[in-house]
Amino acid sequence: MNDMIMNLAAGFGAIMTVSNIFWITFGGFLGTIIGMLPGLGPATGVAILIPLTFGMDPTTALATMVSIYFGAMFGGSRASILLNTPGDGGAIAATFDGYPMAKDGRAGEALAISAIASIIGGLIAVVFLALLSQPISKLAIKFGPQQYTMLMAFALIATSTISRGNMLKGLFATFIGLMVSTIGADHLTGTTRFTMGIAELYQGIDFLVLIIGFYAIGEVYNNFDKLLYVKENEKTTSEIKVNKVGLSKGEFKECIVPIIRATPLGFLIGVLPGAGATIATMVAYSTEKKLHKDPDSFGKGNIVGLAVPEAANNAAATGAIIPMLTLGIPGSGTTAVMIGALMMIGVKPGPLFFTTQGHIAWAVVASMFIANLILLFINLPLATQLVKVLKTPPKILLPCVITLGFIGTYSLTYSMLDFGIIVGFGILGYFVKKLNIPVATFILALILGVKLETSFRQAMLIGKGDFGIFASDPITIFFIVATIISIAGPRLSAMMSLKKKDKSVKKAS
Amino acid sequence: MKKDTVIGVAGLIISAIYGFGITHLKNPSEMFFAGTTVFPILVTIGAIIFSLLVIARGRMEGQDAEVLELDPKVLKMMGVFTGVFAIYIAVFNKLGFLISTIAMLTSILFIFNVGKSQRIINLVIGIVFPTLCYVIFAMIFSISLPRGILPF
Repeated sequence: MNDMIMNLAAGFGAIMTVSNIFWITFGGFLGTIIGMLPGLGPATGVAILIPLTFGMDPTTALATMVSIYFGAMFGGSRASILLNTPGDGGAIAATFDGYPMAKDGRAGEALAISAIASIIGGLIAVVFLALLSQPISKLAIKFGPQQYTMLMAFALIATSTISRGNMLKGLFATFIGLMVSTIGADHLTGTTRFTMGIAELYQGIDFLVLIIGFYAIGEVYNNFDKLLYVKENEKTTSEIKVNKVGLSKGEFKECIVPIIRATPLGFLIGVLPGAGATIATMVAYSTEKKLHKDPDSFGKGNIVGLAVPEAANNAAATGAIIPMLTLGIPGSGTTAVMIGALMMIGVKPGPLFFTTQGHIAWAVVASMFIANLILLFINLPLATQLVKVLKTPPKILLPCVITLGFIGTYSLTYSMLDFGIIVGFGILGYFVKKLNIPVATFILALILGVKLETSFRQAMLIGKGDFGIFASDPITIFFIVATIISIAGPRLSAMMSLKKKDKSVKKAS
Repeated sequence: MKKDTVIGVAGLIISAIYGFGITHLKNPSEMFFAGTTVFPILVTIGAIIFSLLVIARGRMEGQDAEVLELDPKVLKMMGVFTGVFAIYIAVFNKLGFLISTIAMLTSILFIFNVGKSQRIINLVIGIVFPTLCYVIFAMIFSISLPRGILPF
């Protein structure tokens, strides 16, 4: 505990420079704006703003990315409350009560509680992160190739199975992602694979390029469905007027306990690979609805119904950073983008990160505290100014996002082939969404593919070809059990809720 | 066509092409279990199994299975955008970032944001936004963007 406090104090010392504070503020501001744009979430925000971090020292770069990430989470809720259009999955639950509040003329209160709940959730979650990071890192140091293989297999399968009714498509996307990850030089032998003679593919397909294609370009194509049918001069932006942004004491008192209740729940779900903010907010919302004295008011503009998912959302976002920093495994789409960007600047998150690059790790944890506080100051007084972004028509904003996507791609590799790749994957992104294939599982597989293959083959060498090595110790067996639960769990809970429904129907009749 | 059928058939085609690629890889026989091809082989088997399962689910759902519906207007617009991007890629290095991006952005704004009242807005944004990006990224952040025919 003392170690943690000392490390954290050193982290605050390192992060409290004028340039770091400037970049955290600027990153949070830009992230908020990008997050507010309908359809563009934190993953896209971080991906297209990566060029900003080039040339920065690793601490500043990582702190800037974190502030863009947190800012986008804040911003996502703005679009949910004022437009009923969430910026990303984690902001969906904010539409349930946020939009009815705004329609009722309580947009100011909605924006205020959203910002306050987000910051409280975020700050408490950072404390959890500080407490848990080192123990998890210490445990992860004991991992060998077989444990890593099973951990990654669990992460991939858990991500695939998390969306109910979409498990088969998720697993399908996982295997296709793993296929794409094998393009390029074999990391163990140097043999070139599946490059079709194209020299630029020797290093493999840069997944950041692919993410920009899928999220930035693909999202523009996905918006065609709606925007092509908007007539000239037809309004596509928010017409809701924002009153004074603030909360009464009574409203704050009503929300604080639910916020504190939702935060650990959101954090724990966020730590699980693939579960992410969407599930965290939905679980927190439905749990609070069950606990509330007037559950029928949920969905009709209940302020608690907005506060709870907002706290869970930010707590989950912070939780998702734990597997990224301590295991080197992204827990969400955004952390996947961040890992890619970190590798480009020479930072390798993983079990040794807190030991070998502790000064960066703790400075980043400190930057999360600061980013949350700065975001509160950006989001409360500037709320009425920031929401003006929502008045910019998407038909103008989306082409600008395409431009940023091209700049981001070019600055990553300076390769024209990658321009072709983002356009190709943008088109693919449109069809993938039309076919309801979960993109996040594909991307996670693509990112983890190289590590998974390397660990798998190293473990096979250690085990001399015996697959039994993957069930040879308590850690690997734990991951096998966790994988089985992640596959069977959603089905079992669906069956149980069906049985409950049947019983209640029988009772009623 | 059913969505599941489209996904499954696409998966099988991808697996076939990928599997053909595996046959061209050399694998040292003494360490086959940890060689270059073992992971791709396992991944191909997985992809084939799940492609077949997705097709089978689509067949089992029968009439209830979701059908893929594509809007010709959207596809046409995607085609137009892709054409603009292809030209952009072709001229990017020759004309430089600024000129090519102004041309690309202005073109897609005019295609996308139609209406007489929007012309000036499209033109202003088409010129100002890439210029602003160039100043921020190339001049402030020193990211190397091609100058092309411009001296700066």
